Amino acid sequence: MKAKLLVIDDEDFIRMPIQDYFEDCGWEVVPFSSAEDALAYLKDEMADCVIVDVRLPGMSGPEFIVRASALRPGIRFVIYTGSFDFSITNDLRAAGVDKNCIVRKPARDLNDIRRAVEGGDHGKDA
Amino acid sequence: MRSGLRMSIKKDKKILIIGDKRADTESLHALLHSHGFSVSSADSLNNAEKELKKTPAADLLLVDASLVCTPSETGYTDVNRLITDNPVIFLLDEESEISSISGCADMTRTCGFIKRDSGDNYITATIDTAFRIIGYFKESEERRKELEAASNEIRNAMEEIEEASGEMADTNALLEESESRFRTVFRNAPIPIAISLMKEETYLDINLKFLEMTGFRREQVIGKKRSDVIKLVSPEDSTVIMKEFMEKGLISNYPIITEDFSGNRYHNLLSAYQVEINNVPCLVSMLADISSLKAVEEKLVEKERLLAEANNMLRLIIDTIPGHLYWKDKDLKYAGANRLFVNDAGFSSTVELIGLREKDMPWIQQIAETDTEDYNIMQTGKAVHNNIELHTIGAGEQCWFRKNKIPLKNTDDQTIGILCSYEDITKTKLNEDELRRSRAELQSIFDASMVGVALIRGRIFIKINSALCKTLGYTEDGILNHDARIIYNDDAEYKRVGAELYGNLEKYGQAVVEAKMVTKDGRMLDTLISASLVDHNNPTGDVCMSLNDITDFKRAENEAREKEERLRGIASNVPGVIYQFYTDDTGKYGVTFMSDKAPAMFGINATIENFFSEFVTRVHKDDRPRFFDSIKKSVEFISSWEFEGRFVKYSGEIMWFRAMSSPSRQKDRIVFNGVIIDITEKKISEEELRRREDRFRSMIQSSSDMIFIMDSNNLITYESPSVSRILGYEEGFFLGRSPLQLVHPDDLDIIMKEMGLVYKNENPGIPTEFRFKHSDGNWLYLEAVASNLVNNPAVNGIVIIARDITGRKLAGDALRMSEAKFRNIFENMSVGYFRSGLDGGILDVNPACLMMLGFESVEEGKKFLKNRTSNIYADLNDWKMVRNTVMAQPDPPVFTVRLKRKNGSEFTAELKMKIVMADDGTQMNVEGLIEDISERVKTQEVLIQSEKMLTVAGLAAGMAHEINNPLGIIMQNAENAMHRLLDELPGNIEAADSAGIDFKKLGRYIELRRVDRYLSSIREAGVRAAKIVGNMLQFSRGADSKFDCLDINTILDKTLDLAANDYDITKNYDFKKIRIKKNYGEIPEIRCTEIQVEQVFLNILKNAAQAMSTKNHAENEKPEITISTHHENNSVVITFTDNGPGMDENTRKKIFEPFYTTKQPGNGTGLGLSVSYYIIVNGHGGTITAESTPGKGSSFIITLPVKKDIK
Repeated sequence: MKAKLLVIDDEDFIRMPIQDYFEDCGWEVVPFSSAEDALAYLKDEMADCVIVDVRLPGMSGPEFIVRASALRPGIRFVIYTGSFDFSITNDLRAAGVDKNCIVRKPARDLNDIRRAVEGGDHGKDA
Repeated sequence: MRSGLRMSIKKDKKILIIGDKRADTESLHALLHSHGFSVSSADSLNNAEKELKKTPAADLLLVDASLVCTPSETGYTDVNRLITDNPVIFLLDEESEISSISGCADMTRTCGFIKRDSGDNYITATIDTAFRIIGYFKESEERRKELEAASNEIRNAMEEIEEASGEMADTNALLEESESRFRTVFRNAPIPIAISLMKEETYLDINLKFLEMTGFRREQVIGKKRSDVIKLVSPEDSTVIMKEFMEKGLISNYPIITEDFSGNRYHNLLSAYQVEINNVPCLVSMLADISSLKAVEEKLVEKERLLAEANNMLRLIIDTIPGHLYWKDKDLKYAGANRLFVNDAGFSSTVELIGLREKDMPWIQQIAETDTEDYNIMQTGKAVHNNIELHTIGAGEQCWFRKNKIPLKNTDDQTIGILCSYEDITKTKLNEDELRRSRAELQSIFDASMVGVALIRGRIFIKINSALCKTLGYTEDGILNHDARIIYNDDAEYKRVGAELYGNLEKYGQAVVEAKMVTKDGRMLDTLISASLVDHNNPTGDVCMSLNDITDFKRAENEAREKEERLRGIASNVPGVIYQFYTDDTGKYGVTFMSDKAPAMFGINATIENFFSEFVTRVHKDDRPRFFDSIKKSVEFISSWEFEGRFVKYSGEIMWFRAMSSPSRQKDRIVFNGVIIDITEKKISEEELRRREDRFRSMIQSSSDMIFIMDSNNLITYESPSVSRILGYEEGFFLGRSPLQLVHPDDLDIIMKEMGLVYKNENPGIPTEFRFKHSDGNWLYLEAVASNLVNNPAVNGIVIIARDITGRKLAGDALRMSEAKFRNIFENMSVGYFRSGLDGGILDVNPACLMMLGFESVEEGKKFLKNRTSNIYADLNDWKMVRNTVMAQPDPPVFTVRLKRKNGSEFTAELKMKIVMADDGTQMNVEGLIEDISERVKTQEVLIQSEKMLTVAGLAAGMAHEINNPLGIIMQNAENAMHRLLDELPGNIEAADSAGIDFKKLGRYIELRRVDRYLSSIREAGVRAAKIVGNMLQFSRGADSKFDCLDINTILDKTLDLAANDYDITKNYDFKKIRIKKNYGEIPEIRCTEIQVEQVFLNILKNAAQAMSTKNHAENEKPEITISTHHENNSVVITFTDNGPGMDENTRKKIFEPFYTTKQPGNGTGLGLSVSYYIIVNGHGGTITAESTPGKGSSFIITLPVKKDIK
């Protein structure tokens, strides 16, 4: 059974290469352009990991994380964001988010994102 | 026939005194006993009864009236039982008791009443009288008894007869015999007897006596009615008689008064009884003629009445006697007294007094003396007359009494008592004493009088006092009883005075005459005789005169007259008018005196009465109100009056007058005595004077100098108006004060010394400076000059002229202070100051300037600069430019130039210069300020940098985020493209297969056509762009940074390692080839963000390395970077010095600008140092500066603060 990965970003060309890359890596990837869609999906389906941006139309990334984690505890969340002034709140920490879960845009290497998804120390910030 | 009752008083009569007042009883007992009566006493009626049962029984009862009507304690004894049978004299306290006695006692046997306080004589007299009455009664009683006996006999006889007649009816002869016997008896009875029919009331038979009594003949009586025969004076008697008869059946001794036909009245005692004669009720009546008795009785009563009257009179007399009266019996017991005495003794009636002894009296004193006295009188029978005694009575009052005690002697010349009378002569005595005293007083007044007083009769001195003698120089004998002539100088005077004196005395009753007298020793006296008649109605009678020695007075009078004459003489010569006017309490004005000149001076022809009003009308109408006001005011305060005003003369000419006077109060008016003078001329000159004075005054007032006049006591007598203005004290403050107290204590010595010289007139006239206290407390500097004008009568003191020089002084001080201040500033200012001549020769340089230029002293500076200012310019052209500008423009701008220090180092300075006039005013100098603005420049640069940074930061923050996304797209897609084109992923191969392509071949194609390089370059470019963005975003990251306390030296080492291995660095130059010299000092840890600090250090090292790689180092000069750290001023200073090519100023200035780079395009971002700058300055609160000497190398100096709180 492939590990399922959700990718939430409102920019198609951000989502696409990530999706392709992880599919190439052997993941099952389900793309979403909004957090609401993803949340609706999670109501019925499971996932192993979610890559989510902070700034999204409608529900924000952090809010999604909190809800999704309530819905499906145990999901790993990776925040892939361009916002510099993002910091991990207690809610997020409760959902399992730590500094290794954060990848700043632009990721120099898609590997950086993979490392975050897989839960390793992804090294220096960009 | 009247019964001839013989009156005889037997002395052995027995008297029974019934009374319960033992004292009275005893005294009475004694009294009566002394009169020869046999006396017994009983203290109650019961006892009296017993007493009476004794033999012999009493002949007379003296009954205490109070016992009569009151029952005794031991049972009521009917007093009447006693008194009916016995004669009684009632002893009374008051006459009023009589009525009460008569109310309850049978008064039949009453023989009299004695008041207790009656005199012994009275008592005995009354008793004697009583006995007489008793005698009468006895006799009458005997008579009555006889009568009764007779009548009884008769009755008996008649009863016998009756009996006999009943038994012996047949013996008419016996009857007749007995009848005739009877008839004889009947006929001859010595008392009138009548037999009458009861019913008819007619007479049956009467006896001779009856006929004798009535004067009728037998036939006139027999058969006649009783009433026709016996005339009762009181017809009602018969009714009473009958009534009594009816009640008792008989009448016994009923007193009736009958009248015979000739009108004679007879007193009778009627006795009657009923008898049956021949069975016919008859009345037998007998009359006992007691007319004579009655007459006696009446006489007695009359006598009694007279006695009583006499008694009363006596009593009245003795009560009315103005004085106290009492008498004592021979036992010295009080036997009576008058009301006054009784009251004084405290009794309410004489009765209480009677029987008491002296010792019983309420007064305490003199009992013994009184008793002795009384006893003596009793013994000697000699009276004591006019004894004046002093008693203290009552509340200690003293009274004088004149007492007379007279022994009472009876007919046998025996003293039976003492009569004492005394008079309260206190008043008289007091009056006497008073009289005596006032006489003595008058006498002493008379004697003490200073004025000679004499009583003259017919011009002869009858009575004189010592003053008179003294005045006239005679002894008393010398004048007394002499004719007045002796005191007169001569006959003429004697006659004149006499005539005037007596003439006036006659006319007016009094006279006052001046007389010239001569003393005994020939001295002349002026005297004033004042005389008056002693008896106004007797002009020739005695004259009372007083003599006053008026010699001195007369002399004074003469003197006064002389003085007046003199005054008058003076007054008439005074160039003015002397007057006296008054105003009285009603507001009226008047003149009492005007000297002769007045009418002439004023041209007023008025009487003295009208003078004032005439005067006032001529007073100028404008001055008139003031005239009256001034008078009124002086009246109110009794203050001296002065008035100057105008008087309009008759001619219309105006005269100025001055009235002066001093008012004094005289009874009801205020009197002004004074002078009026014509001051018209004076007024004119006064005006002139005033004008001059005003001029002078205004001069002084407007003078700004102060003028004082000081007297020899250092007290100010004058201060000019400017004083208060300048010194601030109220006007007149200094008058009477010494101004020395306000002189500054430190200056006082100088002042005193000066004043000493002034007084000696030795002062040099040089102004003295001193400090004086202003009223607000500040010290003023004054300059004063004094002149000694003590001897100048107009001045009479030291004139001091003073000027306030505070301003000047302060200005001087200020100037001096200012100069000192300026010198201070000059010496200490941080800005360099110089002065030079137009030729550039240095005239003056301040220490700051020297320091700035690196010189030790002015001399050195001058020497070094060879006296040319141009030498300090780094660029001579600058000097030229500056000089030219300064010369040309009056207000040249500030120049910013590079200047050269002594050691050759340059610095940026601001120059402000101008051309000025030299102090001595002869030539022009150049004056300038030099400010080392290196720091400022640096700071400015830093500020500019910061600003730029901030701008960039702002841009960066805004932009960064927008770029990241596209960058992400670029990079990720390029990467993915590469992956999907080149990597042998199952997915790829699958897809190639399905496309009918050989994946490997595809890969080969892509490489051949360099598409892979295109894609990777796209990715790399993205990375580069991301880095730039990342760097830029450094600027907006603040709170991100984490601070740790770190050791810089350690970080430096880390950085060196990084530098050696850094990808970027090794690419372009070999860092390893560079020699690193470490100069680490002892530095404390500082709070910093390691990564950032590292970045900064790395950046600098990189730049250094890069720079050095461009320089062609000499053989012996290896590329070298020296890193030194040291602790300085609460900071850690890190210096990176290289020996590279260095930078020129332009470069150096711009080195921290963002995007400024010396490198080739593409080589580096140009952001490194700007970011470093930002990190150090904004992130760590430190400083970063660059220094360089072109060709030699550059230095980057970083300071990081040690303080805990940075941002």
